[in-house]
Amino acid sequence: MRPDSLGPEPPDILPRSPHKTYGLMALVRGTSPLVDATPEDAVSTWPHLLLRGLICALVCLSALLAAAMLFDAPLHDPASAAETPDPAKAPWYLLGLQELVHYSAFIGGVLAPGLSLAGLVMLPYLDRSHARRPRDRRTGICLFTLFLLANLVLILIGAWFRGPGWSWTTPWSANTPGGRP
Amino acid sequence: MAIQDLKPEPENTSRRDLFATAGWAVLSASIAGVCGAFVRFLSSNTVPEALSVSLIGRPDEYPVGSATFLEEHRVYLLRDARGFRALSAVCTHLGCTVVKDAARHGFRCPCHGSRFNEQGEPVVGPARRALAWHPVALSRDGRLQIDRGRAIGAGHYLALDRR
Amino acid sequence: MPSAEPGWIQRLARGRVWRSIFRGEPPGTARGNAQAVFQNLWLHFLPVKVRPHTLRFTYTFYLGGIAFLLFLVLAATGVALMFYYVPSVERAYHSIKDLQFVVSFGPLLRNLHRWSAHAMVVVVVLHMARVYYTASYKAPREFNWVVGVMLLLLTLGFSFTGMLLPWDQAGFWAATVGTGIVGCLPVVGKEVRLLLLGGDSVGQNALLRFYVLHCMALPLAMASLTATHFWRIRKDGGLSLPPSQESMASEERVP
Ligand code: HEM
Ligand code: FES
Repeated sequence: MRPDSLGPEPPDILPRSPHKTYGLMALVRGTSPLVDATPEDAVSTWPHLLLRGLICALVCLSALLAAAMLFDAPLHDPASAAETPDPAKAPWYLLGLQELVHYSAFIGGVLAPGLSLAGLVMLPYLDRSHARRPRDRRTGICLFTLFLLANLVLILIGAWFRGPGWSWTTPWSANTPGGRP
Repeated sequence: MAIQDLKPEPENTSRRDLFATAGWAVLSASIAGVCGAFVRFLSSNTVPEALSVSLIGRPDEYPVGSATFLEEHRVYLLRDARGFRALSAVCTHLGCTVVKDAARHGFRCPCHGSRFNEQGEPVVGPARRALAWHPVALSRDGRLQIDRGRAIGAGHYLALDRR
Repeated sequence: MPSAEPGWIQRLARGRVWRSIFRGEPPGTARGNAQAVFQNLWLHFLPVKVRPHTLRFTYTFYLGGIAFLLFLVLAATGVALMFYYVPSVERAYHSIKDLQFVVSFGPLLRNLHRWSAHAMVVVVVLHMARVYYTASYKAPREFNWVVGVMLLLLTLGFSFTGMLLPWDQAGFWAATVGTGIVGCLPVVGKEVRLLLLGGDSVGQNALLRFYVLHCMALPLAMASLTATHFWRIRKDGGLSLPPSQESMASEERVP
């Protein structure tokens, strides 16, 4: 029986069937049965994602354009097999490799990069835990950060601490030319 | 058509499997063949190379005690009391051009800092092998001739005085 | 809110020409917004709706999108440079000099191409780091990580092959040393080096090979892998959610 607190019977929009335990209670405007949320709490791609993408693209393009107007891409002397520049610095993203190769061509040039690459490719298959919160994956985060830092340190060594003949030097000493971009 | 007709018979299944396997095998083999042929296509049968034997002038152009860098050949021509020798300037590490190290009587490489002694043997750095010695000979008209296509053991001099 | 007096945009959008190009309702309504995405060839790989969380700048930093933008910039400026560049050892260096000093907007295009290339290496690495730190490589996204690693390799391949093209000292020696390293690979090293150089040393054949790789083979590979990458994002249930919202996302979802 209907308790009194619910007030008077609603008007019969659809007649209630005596065989059912449910019935239409009310009609409301909306796109979802959830309160204050569209289905799955989603927004439409246009304009929400695409406009953000456009703004991001415009900002990046302006930055690129500014860089391209301010700084000229380098062009060195014409290639000549007779003379290797000293120091012959690779572009910055290869300086880490150059530093490794300076110790050994095979270990530094093949083994170390090969193992890093294999590790990167297999990473999702090696780390099979479902933990996603940072505090549950401290080891992984530490290892990965170390990996990134190691690369960065090698690059910085190559860029700033290597001079003619790939010998040690410091960025503030006179014989350190800048790394070749 | 009854539904059963569509179900493969057991014997049929294995025969079909066989055909399917054979089909896939032939297809994969053909694709592998095409890839192999393409790799073979890319790997040139002729390699552009300058003539390896070159005439480099008369012996008296190179005084005793001199070390001359023959730029277009990437070779050092050295003359001392024992005679002439030609030392490749191509670093045995990864191929940069070594320079004469005046201070240390040897050669050093700008790329990763390898150093070689006067005989071309590696002293410091990543290079493990010695710089190549190329044969030096006298041509019939009395000019010096080097052959960059061949490497000979260390210690082979062209001695002029003995003849 | 429909305004009484339709502006020029509305009038344009109601015109026959406009409607012959863009079918469907104009954006603004839920259905129009949806159609703007799924009836557009270039956008239809995107879902019609996305979770607001994935729009947050501090979750993705839009790094993948920026990497893609840089690739587009590189493709456009690269095609422009190809109109002047000649891949021959006699002329390559001079064609770059021409671009630098003779061609209108030549320096701008070359600088754009060069700095975008550098930026792309940085951005792709940062994108990889973001994917790692948000644990977005975990099931069901393992394979997209692998695709990503291949994209990283391609990015580096572009840089390596492009560096030789100006035929200056920096590129020549980087290519010499780089192919020297390739020669150190066990078993196949010598053969792969020969394949790359088309000879014993960096010369005309090597320049031509690097050119074909840089302007044809690598772009094709990059385009197909990028398409795979984007398609997989969608098939893996859209971008990953932070752990706090994860329960809402079913791992098996295929929108
Ligand atoms: C050319 C290089 C690449 C391009 C253009 C690219 C593009 C994108 C884009 C646009 C997204 C959407 C989310 C975002 O913007 O962050 C994304 C997501 C993703 N990327 Fe990349 N990416 C590249 C390289 C990589 C690399 C190097 C990796 C990892 C090794 C990677 C792994 C992933 C994964 C796993 C996702 C899904 C992330 C999630 O669900 O949160 N991608 N990529
Ligand atoms: S190439 Fe000479 S030290 Fe590496």
